[in-house]
Amino acid sequence: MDLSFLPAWPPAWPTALAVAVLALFAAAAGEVAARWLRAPRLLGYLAAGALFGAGGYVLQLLKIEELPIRTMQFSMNFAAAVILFDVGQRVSFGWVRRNPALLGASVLESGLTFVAVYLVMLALDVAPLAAALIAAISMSTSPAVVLAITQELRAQGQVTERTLLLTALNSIYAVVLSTLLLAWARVQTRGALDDYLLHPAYLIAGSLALAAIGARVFLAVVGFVGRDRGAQIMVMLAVVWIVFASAFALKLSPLLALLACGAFVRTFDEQRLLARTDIGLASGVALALFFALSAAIVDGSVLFAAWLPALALVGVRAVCKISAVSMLAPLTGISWRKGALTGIGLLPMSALALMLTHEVSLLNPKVGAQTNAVLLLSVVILQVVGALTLTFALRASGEARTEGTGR
Amino acid sequence: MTATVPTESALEFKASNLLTVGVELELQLIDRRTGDLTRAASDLIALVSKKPFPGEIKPEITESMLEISTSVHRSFTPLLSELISMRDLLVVGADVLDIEVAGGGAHPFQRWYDRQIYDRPRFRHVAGLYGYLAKQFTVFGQHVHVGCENGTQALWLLHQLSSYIPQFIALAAASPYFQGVDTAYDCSRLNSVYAFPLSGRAPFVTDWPAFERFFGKLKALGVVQSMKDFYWDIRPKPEFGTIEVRVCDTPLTVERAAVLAAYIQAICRMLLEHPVPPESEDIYLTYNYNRFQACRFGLEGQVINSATGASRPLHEEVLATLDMCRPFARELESTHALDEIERWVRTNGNDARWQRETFQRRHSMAELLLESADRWRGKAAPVKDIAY
Repeated sequence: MDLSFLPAWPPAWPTALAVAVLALFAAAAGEVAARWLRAPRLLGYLAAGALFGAGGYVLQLLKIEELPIRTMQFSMNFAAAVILFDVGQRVSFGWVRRNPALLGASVLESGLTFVAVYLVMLALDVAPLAAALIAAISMSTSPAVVLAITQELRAQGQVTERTLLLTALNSIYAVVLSTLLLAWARVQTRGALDDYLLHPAYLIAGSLALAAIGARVFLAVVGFVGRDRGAQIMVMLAVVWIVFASAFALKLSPLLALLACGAFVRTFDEQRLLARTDIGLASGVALALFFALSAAIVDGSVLFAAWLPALALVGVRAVCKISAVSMLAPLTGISWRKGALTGIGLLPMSALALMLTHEVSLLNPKVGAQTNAVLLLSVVILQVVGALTLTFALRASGEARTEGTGR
Repeated sequence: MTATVPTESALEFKASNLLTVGVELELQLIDRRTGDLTRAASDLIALVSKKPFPGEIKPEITESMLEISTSVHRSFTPLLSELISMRDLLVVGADVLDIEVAGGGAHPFQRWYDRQIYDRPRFRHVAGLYGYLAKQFTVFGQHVHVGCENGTQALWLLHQLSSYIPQFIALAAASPYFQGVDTAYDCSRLNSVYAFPLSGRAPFVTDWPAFERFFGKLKALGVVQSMKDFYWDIRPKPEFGTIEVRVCDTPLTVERAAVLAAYIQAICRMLLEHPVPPESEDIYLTYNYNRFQACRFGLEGQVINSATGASRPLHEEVLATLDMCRPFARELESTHALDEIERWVRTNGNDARWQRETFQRRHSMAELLLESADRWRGKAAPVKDIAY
């Protein structure tokens, strides 16, 4: 009997299957977190990813030798791209123009964080360049965590809106500053001064130009397809994909390009097409994938390599952000209390910060390793703690939806 | 039991200057991006209260609405200018918080289960008592107070004014869309108010001691605790010394709000100087029918005169009333306001008509809301249309 039409046993599963299986686990784990633990769903996604990556049992079951890291990294990056675009279009730069004190608060909280973290890293014997990069990246709040929590709680109000705005701004500062620092590092190693200006200039101007083109295309097509939600989501995914792929191809910053693209959509939207555009469903999926994948690919062996600077970073950063934002709160038009809650809302970090360090590792492996060691533990802590503190801030400010599921 | 406190004392009618007016407007707070209601009342109130605010600004039952009230005025022009300065302060505050303020009688697509009840004991009580009604009650009205010298005069004026209620409803109607649909009504808001047990017209009680007895009985029965529990179309407000006309939707602009108040004031003056005898409960025979016509069809609604049996559309009714009360408006310095009413009737109609036209042009309730917010700011709405 010729049974060659049957597959070999066990079958040769494509390694990318791991991503789909993880997605299934994550969906269930998110529900467990929400229903039984009354915790943010993203903690469930992270837990699913961590178990999946660390235990390896599922892989053995599938007879997959090792994690398809490249596929997973790519999926995670694309999910991050969707998230950044969505966060961007929630941010109103017009608001900063009408309420300039907000920009002051933003610069102060980021600036203070940078200086304080830098000094503490130096005191803990981190090399100056690595210290500066760590400080730059620690300015940023995780757009992914902020989006996930505000969406899940259906939060509305000043603490919510300000957390989103300050998150987008400090993420932009972090990208720009870390780029400048990398260029500076290269000047030191290669001694070519033109790099100092040319590379950052190309990277920043190029990313913004790409973002602007993406935003115009998005608005033109979304305006044309009208109110069909499925079509809107398709247009959004297509534009995000184009900007994301172009940023890689042109060696620009995908993070900056996508965040700016979302923000430009909001800025260029004179016809208020966004008011009838709802892409929340797509970014919800992206968030679940992003958290699950980022936890699955954590390299546990280096997690505690630099625990002291990592813990110091978490503490110093919290003090700087909360004090800076609450100090300027009355100038920006809200109470001290809501200012402090906004500061608490800015604590989350996520694997998006590690995506920045990834770039560092490519350019300078030694500095990259040190940066990564400190930031990895900080991120792991602040992903969980930050999600909880942001939830607390939104509940305490009365901006979270508290009753009735209604759906 | 607090039997030592006589119920009458709570209802003492405080005399005020005859025919002075004050306006209260319930306003909606809108998210700039989505056009949905947003939670911002306490922040906006705290912000604008840092500087002296003309009149008064107060929270309302949910965080998505607030109420402004003017001080007491004798005539149209100072009332209008106070409303404009309140409006301008709110707009500045809204810009600092990145929200929009808008008029209109109802939010066209808000989902009531998303509303957050403002944290005050009375509001928590109301929310607990009425459940979903309290949240669905996110509708926005204009209340016009007219000063009276004593309680009996107030009740007399209240009943006389009731025949004009359909005109006020039709002129102010600004809630054609509710919960995401075209309700077919020009004023859907009053249907929401009708769900409450103590709504509709006030009972036909014509002197103040009798009214106090009526209130005392209901209070003893535990039906009401204070005058605030009545949601009548017109209700006496003894602590202000006024009657309060509550049927108007909040208009889309403060200018319209001031004009409506001046119109009500002019009619009251006419009624006081030329009382229409006889006074009998028969004036209410057609009340609910006429009220429905005004809510449903706006200025096209047909109303029946309970005394003559004649039926005519409300736009004719308004023009006839305008002719009669112009002399009184002149003495009140509100001729300009009455001209404005005539212009609405002869040209563009009420705000409900503008809302329907705008929705047909934009195909989106969110965009309708954001254009309404532009109108509230006093900005001309963008004329650019969308190409499909």
